[in-house]
Amino acid sequence: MSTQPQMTAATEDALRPLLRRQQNRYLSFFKSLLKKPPGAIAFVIIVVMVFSAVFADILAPYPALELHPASRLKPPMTAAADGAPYVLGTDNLGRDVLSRIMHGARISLWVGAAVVIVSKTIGTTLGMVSGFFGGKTDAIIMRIVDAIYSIPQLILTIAMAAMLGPSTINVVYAISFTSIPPVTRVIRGATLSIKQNEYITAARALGASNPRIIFKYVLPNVFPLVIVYVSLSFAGTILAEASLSFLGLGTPPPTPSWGGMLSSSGRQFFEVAPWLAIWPGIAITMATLSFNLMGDALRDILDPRMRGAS
Amino acid sequence: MIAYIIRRLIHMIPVLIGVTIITFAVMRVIPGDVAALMLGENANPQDIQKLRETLGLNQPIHIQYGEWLWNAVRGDLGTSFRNPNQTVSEAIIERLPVTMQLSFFAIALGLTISIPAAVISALKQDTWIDNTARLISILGLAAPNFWVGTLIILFPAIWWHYGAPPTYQYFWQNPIVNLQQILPAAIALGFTYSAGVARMGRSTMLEVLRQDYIRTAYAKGLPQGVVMRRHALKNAMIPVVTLIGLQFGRAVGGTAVIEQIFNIPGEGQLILSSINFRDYNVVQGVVLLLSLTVMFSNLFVDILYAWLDPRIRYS
Repeated sequence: MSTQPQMTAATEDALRPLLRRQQNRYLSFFKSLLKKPPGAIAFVIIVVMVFSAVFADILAPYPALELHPASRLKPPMTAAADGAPYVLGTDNLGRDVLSRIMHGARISLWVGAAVVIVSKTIGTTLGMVSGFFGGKTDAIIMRIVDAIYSIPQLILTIAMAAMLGPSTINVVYAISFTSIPPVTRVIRGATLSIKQNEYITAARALGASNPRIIFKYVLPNVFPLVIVYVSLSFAGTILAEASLSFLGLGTPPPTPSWGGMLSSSGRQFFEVAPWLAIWPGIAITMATLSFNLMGDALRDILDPRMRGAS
Repeated sequence: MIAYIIRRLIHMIPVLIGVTIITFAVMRVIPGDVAALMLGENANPQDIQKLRETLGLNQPIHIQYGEWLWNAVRGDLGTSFRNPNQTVSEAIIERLPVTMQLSFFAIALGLTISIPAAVISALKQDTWIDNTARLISILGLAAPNFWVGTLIILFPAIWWHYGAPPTYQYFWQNPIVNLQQILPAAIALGFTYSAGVARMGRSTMLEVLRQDYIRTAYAKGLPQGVVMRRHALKNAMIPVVTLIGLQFGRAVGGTAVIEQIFNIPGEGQLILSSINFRDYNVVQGVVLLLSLTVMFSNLFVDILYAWLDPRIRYS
């Protein structure tokens, strides 16, 4: 015999407005994001970027690694002998630049998403634990975080990437490691503030365990901060991955990556084919810009002090 | 304030030890035998082993770290593996003026553009001037500095067939050639710094301009120039000055890629080549220097902030 309480029709009717309010809240959040022109533009650019990266195999005019030796170093909008025109030109091996940029977006987005997931999960956990427990735990965690943070991030990322070897997954590890300290510090600060609230005291008085308090009360309140940080750090990660690829420590060729395209054909042939140095840079800039603008828009929406400021 | 400074200096010690441990661990885990790299592909295994013993690389890692730390505390950062006739301190001192010059020029150029841009942008809020300045700031933050550097080399080469002199010369050797080499790199670096400062400067200036004392100053009949100079600018620049201080520390560490592109023999280029060559001593020495620069610039910023704003008091 089932011991689970049966949901009556009356209960369902009572819950329906709550569910509708929840759905309306997400809808109104989305509407708020699109009301701000920078947020709306950023959102559109990100959607286009994600779409073209996911469906690059279908949307790109040519496969990223396909060589056209007869069409080396062709300028933008050159007609192809058979096939789609080379909208952004070709490189020194006759590869279509637009196709490589679309496929290169995969690397940037994949690295960005992986770094964000890894570093924000670890950083948020460390920050909450550090801020909540305080004392020796806080001291040890923050000294380690301070030590990592004191080393110039680019140098440490380069050293770690060199340590691990050039590959996409190693780039994720290297950038994640150096991205943990900033979010740990911010979340720690927010946790220190949150744990002074009375509902935390009340939860303790009711016998809630520390893990329960952290995940049920602290985490939901720091989550808006994490969301803003996710978008902003996506931008930083794209730049970091491009820097590593530029230095030859990122995704190895022939897999296209924006930084790698700038470093290899862009720098070597820029005098005869300047487009090889221009288009990958524009792609990196647009991607970084859109995530920065998205982060700004999210902060405006999620930070109560900014609501109604306009 | 003195007690605060002393506490911060004491706090730096465990952080510095942490920095050295992290750097030591990272470098030792990098694949590749430094002795084999130095002797070449066809080296005799016995010779490689002998060199490892000479360099102390056969000892357990904690012994290596302990010896390095003990020597570092006494001012001896060891010798370069790549160039055994040169100590690490000599290698660092040789290149330090180059990096400092590049960082200084980058920040100076950045400030020359960004602070006036921030003031004008705030005064002309929501006009085309403001929108243009904001767009350029946002682009400056988004554009990778290695791309900007590449374009700075690219366009003069295409338009005027101009290229900077290939061999670096110090300012005291040939100021003109030195500036030809440093200024393009400084512009590439400074563009990013100026973007951040302009954004923050505009934001703080707008906040200050909304304050009651500014309205009172105008109500008293003071001209706009006087209001800006005597009241608004000083207060608006307090957070900006702290940002500049923080950026200086980061600037010194952020020159690596730019030095590589422009072939400038600074600390950044030194550390990149040392990482590739597994020159552990040089990497540890340079990272220690850069970390100290970051920590001292952070401390300087905190002290400066308290000095500029009398409301700030450190207990």
